[in-house]
Amino acid sequence: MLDIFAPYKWEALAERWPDILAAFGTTVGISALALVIALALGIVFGVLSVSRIAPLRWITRVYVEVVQNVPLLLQVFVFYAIFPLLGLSLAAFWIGVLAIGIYHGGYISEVVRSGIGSIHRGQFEAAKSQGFSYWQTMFVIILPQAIRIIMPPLAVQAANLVKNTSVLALIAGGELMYFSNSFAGATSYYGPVYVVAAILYFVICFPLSRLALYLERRTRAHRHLSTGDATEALGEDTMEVTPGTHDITGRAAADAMAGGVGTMLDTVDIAPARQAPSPRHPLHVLGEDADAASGERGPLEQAFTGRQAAEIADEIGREIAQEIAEECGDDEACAARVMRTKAGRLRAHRRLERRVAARRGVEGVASAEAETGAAEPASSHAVAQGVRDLGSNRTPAADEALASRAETSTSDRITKDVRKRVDGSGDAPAAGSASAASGGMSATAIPEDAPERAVREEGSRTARRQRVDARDEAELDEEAFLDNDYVPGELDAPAERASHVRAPRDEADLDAESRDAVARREREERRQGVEAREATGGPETVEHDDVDMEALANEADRAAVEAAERDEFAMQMELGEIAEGEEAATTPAPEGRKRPNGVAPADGDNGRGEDR
Amino acid sequence: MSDIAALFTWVNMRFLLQGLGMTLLISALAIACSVVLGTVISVVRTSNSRVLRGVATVYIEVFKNTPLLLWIMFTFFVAQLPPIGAAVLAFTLFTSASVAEIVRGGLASVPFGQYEAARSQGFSTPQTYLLIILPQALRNMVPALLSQFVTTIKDTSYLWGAMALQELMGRGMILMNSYNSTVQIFAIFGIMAAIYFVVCFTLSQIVRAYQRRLKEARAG
Repeated sequence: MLDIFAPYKWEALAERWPDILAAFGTTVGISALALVIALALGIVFGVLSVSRIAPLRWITRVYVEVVQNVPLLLQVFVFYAIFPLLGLSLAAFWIGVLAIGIYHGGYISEVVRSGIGSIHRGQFEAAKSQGFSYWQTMFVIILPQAIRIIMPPLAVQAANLVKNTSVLALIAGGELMYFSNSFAGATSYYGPVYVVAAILYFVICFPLSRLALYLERRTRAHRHLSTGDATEALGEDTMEVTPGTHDITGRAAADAMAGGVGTMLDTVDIAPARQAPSPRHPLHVLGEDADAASGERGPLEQAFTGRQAAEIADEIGREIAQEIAEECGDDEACAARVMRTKAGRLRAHRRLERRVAARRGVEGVASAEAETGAAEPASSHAVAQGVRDLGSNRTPAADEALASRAETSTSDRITKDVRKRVDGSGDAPAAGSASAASGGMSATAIPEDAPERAVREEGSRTARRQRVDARDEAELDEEAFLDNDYVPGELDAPAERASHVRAPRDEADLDAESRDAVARREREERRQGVEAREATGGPETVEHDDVDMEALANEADRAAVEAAERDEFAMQMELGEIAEGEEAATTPAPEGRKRPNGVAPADGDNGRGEDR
Repeated sequence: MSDIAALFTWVNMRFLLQGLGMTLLISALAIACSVVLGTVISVVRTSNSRVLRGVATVYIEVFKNTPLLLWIMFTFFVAQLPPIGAAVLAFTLFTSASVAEIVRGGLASVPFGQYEAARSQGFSTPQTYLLIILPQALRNMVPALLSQFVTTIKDTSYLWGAMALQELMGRGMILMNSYNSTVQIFAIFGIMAAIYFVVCFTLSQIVRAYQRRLKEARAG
């Protein structure tokens, strides 16, 4: 056995290293090109497979079934034989690219189909009601959402594709496997070359399958945001529709089989979702404080119902309207004007945000003093900073104070809700006395609050007066923030994103942020321009219709802002409902969900351990 | 047309169907061995020993991330096994990594109460697995295992190219040597594809039907 791996055989192989590299390069090249073809075919056929036109669906069905139920090697051979017939002499390289691309296109199209199928019907209906055409709906609304779900199985497909390029060895494809075979055949030094090939394949495929795992976990962590039970559905679906590629499903299928949400909540690390929250409304932050303060409750357990969600969404709209009204006083025309313009609404939004921050600031001072007895820094920024640090260890009493403080302000309905949740979190008996106490607290807190706010607002106002340009750009930034503009890579830096979302607008950072914002805005405008051009039917109408285009762009803009806000809420609330149901289901027997050690070593633990 | 009709002789068909028999034999053997090995790996992977868990994980990752063809070559040329043995071993190694994941899912699908119940009734750990858990898990694993069977059937087509084992693909290629016209060559390709398709598609449909039934059973 040992002489198979004798040193001189390794030496012989080592002498061929340029050829090994070349073969490895060919494998990578074939894989990359085939992946491009497979992606293109997969998306096209995936979209066609949910088409309303039956013949198109049949075509995709036939394509998928044929490709999936006939061996790849046979398909490669057919391509190999068919091109000379057509008078084309195609190198094995290109035959490989084509055949493997088409083969995996079939698999990817199923993945895409599942992804589209996992998007809630409401999204289609909403898009339709907003006047999107079918194709616009598909490519602007549905696919961008589906991508998140599609990505993990796609990465698995990519890994499979790389592995499958080895088939080309049998038609002299010149890639890694072919080199290994021919080296082994020529020298009869079988051992080393296959080990090296295995390592090289592993080097490509392992990162891909890790990526798949990572994406899957991330999708799972975000599932409440956009996909609902899509991951599970996908897990089952891919297992169903792509026979033999159960490793697509790998973990998803395993967990789907394991019986759903309960297990997932137990085993899945939801930390990423906490760290990379979507841009949120300031009032959410308030609600989050209440949640954090209420102790035991997990981040997934916001006790909202759909009705409450709708009410709160309504309320926030009214909040902003009220902000605008306050700004304009009795001047109806002014209010109407401000409300019509996006900049006006954004200004109101920012005021609201500041108010919430101020509210949190007061609360933070109160609880900090209660706990440490030390004086807090006077600067509003420092207070906000302190609050963020303190947010995690609030006392219930302090939280009551928060609730009642908020109640005294204009947003009583929302905070009533916050309060309801605080009350409902288990210390209901204490709530009465606590709120009585907080009455006193709020009485003392108001005087503190008012100067605090005045200082804060005055400070930022002067700062802004000094930098009028900066203000405008800050609004642009705000706008991008409200648009929920997804910048690739943003999610990959959760901490950065979180700070971007959460930190109160630090004037010093505005320059950097606004540069960013301007770039984003430009991109947005370009995109809208393209969309508007498409919507108005091409260049010939654009020329004499510039104003209309602007209006259209604004319209789309507004719709996007509103949709983003509404979406955010709907997701949060839906999540709340799920969590509610889950809580009801799991709380009676929390111990029952833990596997006894040794009998069935904890699956979740193991999964995590291995993921690390 | 008569060219193609000339292909459909009893001898040719029997020749091909024998190839299919070999394909199915190797696939079935490989799947059977993989289920055993995969179950062992899966159980080892949930073991309390860190070392054992590590070994199982490495095994799964290595075989999941390298091509099957490589292992076929390896068992045939490096380990110098006879063709059928090499084929079954290569497929078992490769497939058991996937089956281990399937078994993991299957085991996870059995409610925890079953473990507790078995333990409370005085079953030992092996008894718990063999008598209580695995039979239940198997029911949930059947669709995925059948899917794996489909994959294996398709992948056995490598065997002709790698070690000249006369399964369906090999028989088809041999048959091609005795026919010269392009039409006939493509007809043979078509016949092979059709046979593979019928077998694999039938299995996929069974998987789907079974899965639908499982889903309904779970829902109802």
